[in-house]
Amino acid sequence: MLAEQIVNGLVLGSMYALIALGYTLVFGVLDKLNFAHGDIFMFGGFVGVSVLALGAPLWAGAVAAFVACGVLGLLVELVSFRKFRSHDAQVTAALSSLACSIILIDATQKVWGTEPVALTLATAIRTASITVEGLRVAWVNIGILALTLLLMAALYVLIVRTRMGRNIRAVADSAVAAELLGIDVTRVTQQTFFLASGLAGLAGVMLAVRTGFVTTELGLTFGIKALAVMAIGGMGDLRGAVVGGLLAGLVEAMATQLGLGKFGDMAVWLLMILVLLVRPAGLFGGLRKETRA
Amino acid sequence: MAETVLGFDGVSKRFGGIHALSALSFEVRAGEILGVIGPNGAGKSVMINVASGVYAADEGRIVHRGRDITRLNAHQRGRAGIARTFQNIRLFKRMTVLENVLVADKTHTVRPFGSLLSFGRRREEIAAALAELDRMRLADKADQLAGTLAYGDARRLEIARALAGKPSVLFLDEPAAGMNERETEELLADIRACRSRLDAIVVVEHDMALLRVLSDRLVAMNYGQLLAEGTPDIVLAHPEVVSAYLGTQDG
Amino acid sequence: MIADHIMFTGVNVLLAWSVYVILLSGSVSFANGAFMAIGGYGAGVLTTKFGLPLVAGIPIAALGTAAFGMIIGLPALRTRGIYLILVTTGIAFCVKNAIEAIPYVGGVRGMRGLVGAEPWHVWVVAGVVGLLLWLLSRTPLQRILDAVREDELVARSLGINTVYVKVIAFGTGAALAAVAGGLYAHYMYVINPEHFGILVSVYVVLYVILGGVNNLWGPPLGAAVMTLLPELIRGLQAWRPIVFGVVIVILLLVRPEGLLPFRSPTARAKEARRG
Repeated sequence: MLAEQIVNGLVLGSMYALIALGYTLVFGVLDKLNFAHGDIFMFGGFVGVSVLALGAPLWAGAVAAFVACGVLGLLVELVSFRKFRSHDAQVTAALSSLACSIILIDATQKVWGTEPVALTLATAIRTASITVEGLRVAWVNIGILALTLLLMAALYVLIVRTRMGRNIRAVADSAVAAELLGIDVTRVTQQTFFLASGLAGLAGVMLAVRTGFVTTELGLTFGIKALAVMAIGGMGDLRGAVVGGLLAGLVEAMATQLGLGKFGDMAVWLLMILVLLVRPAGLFGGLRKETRA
Repeated sequence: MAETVLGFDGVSKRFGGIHALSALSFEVRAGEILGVIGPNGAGKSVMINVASGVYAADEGRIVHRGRDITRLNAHQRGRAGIARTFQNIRLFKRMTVLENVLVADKTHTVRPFGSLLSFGRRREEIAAALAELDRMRLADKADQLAGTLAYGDARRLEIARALAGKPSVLFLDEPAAGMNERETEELLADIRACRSRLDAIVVVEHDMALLRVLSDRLVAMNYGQLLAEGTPDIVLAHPEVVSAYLGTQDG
Repeated sequence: MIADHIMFTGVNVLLAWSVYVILLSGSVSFANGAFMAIGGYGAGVLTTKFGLPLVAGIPIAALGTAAFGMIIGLPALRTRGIYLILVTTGIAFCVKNAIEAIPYVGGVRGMRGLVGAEPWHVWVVAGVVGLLLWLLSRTPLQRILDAVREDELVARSLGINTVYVKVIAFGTGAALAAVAGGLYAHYMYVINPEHFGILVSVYVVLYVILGGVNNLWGPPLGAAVMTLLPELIRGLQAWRPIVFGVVIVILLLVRPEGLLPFRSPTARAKEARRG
């Protein structure tokens, strides 16, 4: 029972981590919050479910969600961030992206309705499981864990080894310096948004496959928690997002185990508040410019 | 010998492993204009920040008119009479020139919510602020937004704002930076004109020529330490000061 | 229906001012929906369980909320910008979850039997608040708040205790939101935690930014426009969130300083010479 909850926590946490990576990538590059990110994740679930409803295979649904959400991310960048570059515009950009998320939620409801939409996927796939040493683990959970690990590894390689990753790191370090070095900051920002939003889209599909349905509330109930996760791990820090995500997933699973489901939600937010007050840079981040005296 | 207004006594400040100030001791005497020189990175700005309470000193004592102010935080130092300007001029840009000076009125900064009941004093306050602006030749720009001022005017407004709180010691952080020769001349006159209204003025600069003519005494710093303290001629002839300057810059 | 519009517009105007008061000292609060909830539930408990009249219940609840706001504000206001947005968002979530977990006030099902507030009550309160804010805008305190908002470090160097100023502003804003919540609750008859979700906080901040934060008329204008606009245009009600979102995005792009961006100086040079 406990082991089962740990697996649950890890699966949940890996999805949090995937979304939090997007928040943190954008924050790292722009020093700004993309409040639309949680609902881009939600939208990814709807895209995935719709593509699967056409009879397409699972991978096609995932790819479609990745691309659709990536494009959506580019759109959000264009209307809510392009014009608000300065540090003073932090709050304006955050609010503008919030407005985007309001539009996105309502538009999704206009297309798919306000009721949860069920996933059409053979029940056999969703419930198939193996039993290892008495512990029953659903293949879906194994798949989600494996895929997120793969994605994180790929992201790591991308950021550390490729030219695009180098540029992203350069802009994150100092946009001004990067510009002087001839890096096209706007382009790097777009790449970051595409990547961050695409990953959120994939997380949306994963959650849909795991729970069997999607609703337009997911951005506010699930996606935004990744925001807290990002802050816990350290804003702008990739390791922090992953560790913070897994931690939050485990905490929630444990709360459920102990029959304190309601407080699992709250625990994540309380932890975030504490971290921001005591150690604004998060568990991992070094001190950023803003938090210094 | 004149009485000591402000004393640094073995003050140290570290950032991580870097010693920004190491056991710095010097004194500011009543009635004087004290110049502080040193190459870039000598710790001059850190010294101002420690004096004004932006940073807390790690070791040592800061004594103002016999009172230990080492543990006071920034607003308490402001109230105690330590005023300052900033290297990169920091005005309230979206407020008018007049408001920038009015806001520094001590009766209100000390008891902000008491000011809700002070309708009666309004006219005198504005008159006092205008007089302050007049001394800095800014009275005709009183209703302009501070953000629209030219560089030299902005510098002087920052000084006027600091003076409006009737401080005891005023720290000026590179007041002549970015000014041409004529503007610098005017600024010197303005600084001299206000010295009688304060206990002392401390001017941080790395322009030696300027400090030579302006200050009564000089303090030379390097690597967060005191190199020399005394009259300009003595300090500027001090071998360590000469080598610190020749070694790092030619101006 | 008309009464509803008058009521909700008034509540939103009050809420907008509650955010504005906090913004005056430079802090953005995404927790005002939570303060509204505490005010609504607090006043509700006092009127339904203790039999207090509404005129007593709401002020007591407002004072309690102010105290709560100041206690959490003291540590929270050490953060700024995005960090403060996150902290206040967290507070909003925590308060809502906490209320849902308290059976005494009905948990997720909510609380019933709240009566006594009329639309004109809200407008009388709004009138008084507006008058006070207008008086404030002509006092030295307004300047001090402006200074704290513009540059905290400089404000401190002038001797202003910025933490104190910010905490008081936060508490005052919390109290105002609580009053709005108390009136709202006693007009609705039934309230539940969903009425005070994070989106309420978010919407109010958006009203304020939309109207403009540099003067006291911007926030109520933003609130009134965004509450009534979709109702005024027939057939638009169903599209309200989209209209709302699109209007915000466009306005932020073309008028980042809000509908009423001007700021009136608190004093002018000629005042000294007059008379």
